[in-house]
Amino acid sequence: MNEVSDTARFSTMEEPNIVEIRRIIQKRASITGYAFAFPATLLLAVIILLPIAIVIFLSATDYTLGALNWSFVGLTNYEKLLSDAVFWRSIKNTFLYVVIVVPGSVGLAFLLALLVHERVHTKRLYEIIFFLPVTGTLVAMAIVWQFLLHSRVGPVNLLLLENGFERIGFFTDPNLAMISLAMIGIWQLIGFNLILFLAGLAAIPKDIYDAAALDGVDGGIDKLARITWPLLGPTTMFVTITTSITAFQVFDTVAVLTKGGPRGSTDVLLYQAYLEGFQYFEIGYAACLTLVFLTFILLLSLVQVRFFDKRVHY
Amino acid sequence: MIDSTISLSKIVKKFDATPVLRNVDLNIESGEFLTLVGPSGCGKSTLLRIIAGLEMQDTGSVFIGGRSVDHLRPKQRDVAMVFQSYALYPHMTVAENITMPLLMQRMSFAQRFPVMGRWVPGSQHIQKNIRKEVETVAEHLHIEKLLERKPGQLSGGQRQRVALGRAMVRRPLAFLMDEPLSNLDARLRVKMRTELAELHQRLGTTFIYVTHDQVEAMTMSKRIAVMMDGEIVQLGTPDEVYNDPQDIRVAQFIGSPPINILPGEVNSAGNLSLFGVECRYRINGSNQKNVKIGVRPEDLQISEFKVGLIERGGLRGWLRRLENLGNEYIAHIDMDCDDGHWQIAVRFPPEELNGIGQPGAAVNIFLNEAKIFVFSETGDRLSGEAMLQSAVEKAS
Repeated sequence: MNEVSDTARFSTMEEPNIVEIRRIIQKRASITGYAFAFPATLLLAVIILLPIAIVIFLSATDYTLGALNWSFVGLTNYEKLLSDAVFWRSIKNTFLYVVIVVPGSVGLAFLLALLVHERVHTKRLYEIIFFLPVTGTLVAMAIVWQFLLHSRVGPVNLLLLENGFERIGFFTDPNLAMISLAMIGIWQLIGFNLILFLAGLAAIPKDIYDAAALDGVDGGIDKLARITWPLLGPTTMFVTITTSITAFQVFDTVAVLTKGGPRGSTDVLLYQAYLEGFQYFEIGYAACLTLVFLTFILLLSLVQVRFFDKRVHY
Repeated sequence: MIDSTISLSKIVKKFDATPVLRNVDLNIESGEFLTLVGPSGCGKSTLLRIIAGLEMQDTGSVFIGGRSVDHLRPKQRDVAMVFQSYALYPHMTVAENITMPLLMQRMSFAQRFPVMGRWVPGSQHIQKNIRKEVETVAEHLHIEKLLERKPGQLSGGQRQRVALGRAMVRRPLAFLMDEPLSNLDARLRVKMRTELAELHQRLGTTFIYVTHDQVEAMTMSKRIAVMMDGEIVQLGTPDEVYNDPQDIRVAQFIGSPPINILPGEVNSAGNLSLFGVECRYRINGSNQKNVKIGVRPEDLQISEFKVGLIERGGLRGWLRRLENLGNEYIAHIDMDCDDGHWQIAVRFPPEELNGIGQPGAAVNIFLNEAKIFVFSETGDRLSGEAMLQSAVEKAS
C-alpha cells in the first residue's frame, strides 16, 4: 500500500520537472541550430536575395545612372517593355539561340561521349581536346572565330572561294548571324557536357552490360535504347538544365562579334539589358529586362526539374 | 534427356602477362551441381565468365551440350548467369527485368521496337505468352506481388530472387552463379542456400556455382573443384575434399576452424614423429625428412594434464582460450617445443569438457593417427598408414 502511494507521488512530483527540463534543452538546441545557420543565411541574403530585391525595386523607378532625382513610376517600365518591338525581337533571338544550342550541344556531346568512352588508350587525349574550349575565355575565343569566319579574310570563306563556292557572310547575313553564334555556343559547351556524360557512362556497372549480353541485348541499337540511354537519364536531365541556363545567358559572343547586328538579328535579352543599363543609362528599364531574364531562368529550371524528376529517376 | 554437359579443355587465360588460368580441364555432368571454390584471385570467376562467353580464353575450348561454343556469343550459348551484384536493370520493373531475355529471344527487331512494335504482326500474341511465363516463374519464386516494383524498392533477398527469375525464365541448359549469396546477410544466406539447392533439385539443370565460401561449397554441391593460382588442385565430392585432401592448400582452405598444420619428422625407417614424440604412423616409400602433418580440430583429443599421459604418447600444451559454441567447444592451445611456437585448435563435444577451462592450464593432446594427413615440404600429399592401435585408444 505504502509502496504504491510512494511511486504515485514520485511520478507526480518528477514529471513536470522532466518536461520542463526537456523543454529547456530543446529550446537551447534550437538556439544553437539557428546560431550555426545564421552566417550562411546572412551571406545568402546579402549576396543573392538583397540584389534581387534591389533589382525589383529599381524596376519600378525611372532612375538613370548618375541622376540626382528619381521617382516611382509603378508599372510604367513594364508597359513600355510590352510595347517595345526591340524587346520582343531580343526574346525571339534568345529563344532561337537556346533552341539550337541545347539540342545541339547535348546531343552531340552524348554521341561523342559514346565514342570516346569506347576508347581505351586515347580516352584521356580526347577528353582533353574536347574540354579545351571550356577552359579558354570565350571573349578571346570569339576573336579567333571572328577571324576564321570573317567574310573577307577568313580562312573558311577563302576555302569556299577556292572551291568555287560563294562567300558566306557568317556574321553579316541577318539570316545566318544568330546560327553562327549558336554554332560557337555549341562548340564551347560540348566539352563540358561530354565530360558529364562520360562520368555518367563510367557510373553504369559493367555487370549490367554482362547480364544484358547474356539476355541477348548485345546489338548496338538495343544496348543503347534499352540500357545506356535510360541509365543516363539523370545525367541527361542535369546536362540539359545546365546547358539551357548557360545558353539563356548568351552575351559574350554577341558583345564581341556582332553587337546585336546585323539589323538587330542577334540582339539577345542580356545584351539588351546591358545596352539599356550601361550604354543608355536607363537603369530602371534595364532592371525590368533583368527581371524578365531571371523569370525565364527560374521557369526553365522549375519546368525541367518537375518534368524530368518523374521520368528519369529509378 | 537434354545433354547439358559442360566440358573445358586446356583453358589458358592471361591478363597481359599475368597468367590467370593455367591449362584447366574440367568435365561437368548433365544436371550436376558443381562448385568452383578458392580464395579470391584464383581464377574461378574468370573461368565462369569464359564458360558464359563474357571473356575469351587465350587457348583451349569450351563445350556446352556436346558442341563447341568458342565461336558463339553469350546469348547463343544457352546459359544463364546470376551475378554477385544481381545486375538487375535499375530502370525497369521486376516484370520487365524477367521479361528481357524472352523478349530478346522471341521477338524480331521490328516486333520489340519501342511503341511501334505492338502493331507489328504477331507481337501481341508473343507478348501475352511471355507475360504468362514470367508470372509462372514469379510464382515459383514467391515474387508475384513485386512484379510492378523497381529493383531499388526491393530488399537484397528479393533482388536475388528477381535475378534468379531472370535466369530461370529462359530455361537454359546451365546456370552459372558468380557468388550469388555474398551480398546477403548471414541469416538470409543460410536460407537462400537451402532454396538454391532445392531449386537445383527441382529443375535438374546443370549448376556451376562460384564461391569463396567453403561452407556454401560443402553444403550445396555434388562435386567441388578447389582452385588455387589458376589451377584446379582437387576435384571431388565434398566428402573426398574434406577427408582426403590431395594438397596442403586444399586441406587448409576447406574446414573451419582451419586444419592444424604441425611440423613432423620422418626417420630412415619411415616412422613419423611430432615434436620429438614418435607417432604410430609410417610414411610409404618417401625419403622426405621434414614433413607437414595436417590434423583437423575434431581429430585431436584433449584432456586435463596428467604426467602419466605423456608417457602414453600425449603431447603437452597450454590452454590459451576456450570458445563455447553451444553444441561444441573449440580450444586454442599453445604448443611450445624446440623448433618454435605453434598454436592449434581442438574441437570437442561438451561431454568431454572434464575440468578443462582455465586459461594457462596445461593440457594433454592426443593425435588420432588414423585421421592425419602428411604432406611434403612442397605441399603434396604423402601416402602412409597408421600402425597398430593409436595413442588415443591407448589412453582410454
